[in-house]
Amino acid sequence: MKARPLNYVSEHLNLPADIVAGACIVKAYGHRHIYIENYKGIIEYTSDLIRVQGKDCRVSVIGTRLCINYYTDNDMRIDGNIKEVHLSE
Amino acid sequence: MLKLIIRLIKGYLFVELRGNSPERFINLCRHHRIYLRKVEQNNGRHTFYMYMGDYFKIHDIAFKTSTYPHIIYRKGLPFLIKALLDAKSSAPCFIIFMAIIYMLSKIVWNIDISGELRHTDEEISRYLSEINVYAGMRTEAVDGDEIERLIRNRFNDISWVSVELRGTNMYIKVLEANIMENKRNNDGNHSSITASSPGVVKSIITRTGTPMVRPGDKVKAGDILVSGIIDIYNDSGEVVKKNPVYADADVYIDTHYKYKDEFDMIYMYRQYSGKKKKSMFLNVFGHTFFLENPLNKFASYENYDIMRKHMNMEIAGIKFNDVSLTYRTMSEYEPVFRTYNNEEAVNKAKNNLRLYLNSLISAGISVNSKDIKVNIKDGICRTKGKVFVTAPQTQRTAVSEQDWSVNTTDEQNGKDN
Repeated sequence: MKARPLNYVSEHLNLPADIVAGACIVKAYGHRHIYIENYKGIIEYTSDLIRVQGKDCRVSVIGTRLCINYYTDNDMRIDGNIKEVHLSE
Repeated sequence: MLKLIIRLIKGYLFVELRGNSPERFINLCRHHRIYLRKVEQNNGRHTFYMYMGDYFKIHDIAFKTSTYPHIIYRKGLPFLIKALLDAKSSAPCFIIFMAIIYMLSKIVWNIDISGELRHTDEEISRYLSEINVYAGMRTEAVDGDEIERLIRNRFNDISWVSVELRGTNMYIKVLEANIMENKRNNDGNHSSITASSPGVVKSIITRTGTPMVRPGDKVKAGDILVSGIIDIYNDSGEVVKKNPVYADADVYIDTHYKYKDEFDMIYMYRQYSGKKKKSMFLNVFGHTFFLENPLNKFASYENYDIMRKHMNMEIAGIKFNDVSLTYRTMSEYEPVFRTYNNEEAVNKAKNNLRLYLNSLISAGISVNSKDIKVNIKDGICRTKGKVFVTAPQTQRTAVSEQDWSVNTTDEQNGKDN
């Protein structure tokens, strides 16, 4: 994978992975809001599941009444009753 | 809040998206920097908010993704303006609005008086209303030169007045001059300047009249300092004519004033009980409406202070002098008689003296020194002494016709003329 050498560099040089390797940042504020940074696109969107593609991972947010409050080029905020967050390659 | 204001100014839409691939639609929107807000899915429908301007950009995206955006509602300033312009009544309303604005702009809404020191705003405002200059008058009726002239005539110590009409505000700027008494009321009466108290002449500068004293001369009260008669001599040094004038000079005399002050050592002190009776008055165009609590009628005080707080109505910096609100507070007190101790009595005496000296200074008299003694005896505090001052002399004595008429003998017939 392309990201692996960059991951290696960031790990060994103590550089932030989100800047060097473009790693996806997922921040959860309680179970009501989630911020996802460095995403590439939305794969699936329903009121119960939002699946977002990151650079080297896939983030699945599972819950009810999910809503994309806003999105920009880099980050997005998902609101709703969040029950689970899955990260997969 | 700022974002909400920006959204309202730019105008935004609530859009429902129909189709099978909303994810692709959102990704393409993001790619084209079209940002959607509050993307939700309810009952199989996708809805979101977007800016009005972005809606024209999503046609191609919708076509590509086989989705159909449908506007549910619109909000914001552009839609409001369009609705107003489309309305049939908007044109007459706009004309009426502009006519009202035009009419209101033809009225003086505020009179701002500045620069006065000795006179109060109310005093000048009262005079202005006497000469029909008031907030609410038409701007066309304002005659600045006439108002300036009338103010100068009415207030002698106002040496300069400027009346400026800026928009619907009238700005009156005044300058009060420190005019001495002898320059006032110069209505052509012939008079001499006389000494008001005994002393030594310190300086004399004569502009009109005949100086009768020199610096260093001793004078008594009533002595003529500058005569209001000017002698005209002929070649042989004889007085041929006497011209009566209004003597004008700056004469300063070193003199002293006797100072005497006394007060009882027993005085009344107001001990407030804390009980207050409040009431309000609404003054509208000269009519007073009492806004009083009826229960206050049952409260009656034997001794009380009345304090009034007067507030004129003011909206957006425009004062409406004809509408005002007055708060009246009656505070009950109990008179308690107390006695000053020596220190308190001396302090009060010193305070009274300071007030007296301040009054002299404000009258243009410079205080050189003082010799004052405080004596407390028989329950009375007496302050006596002299205050040595340099005082300008302003006392006048009229020049009678006998003083300046000259008897000359007619050389032809020997009769007096």
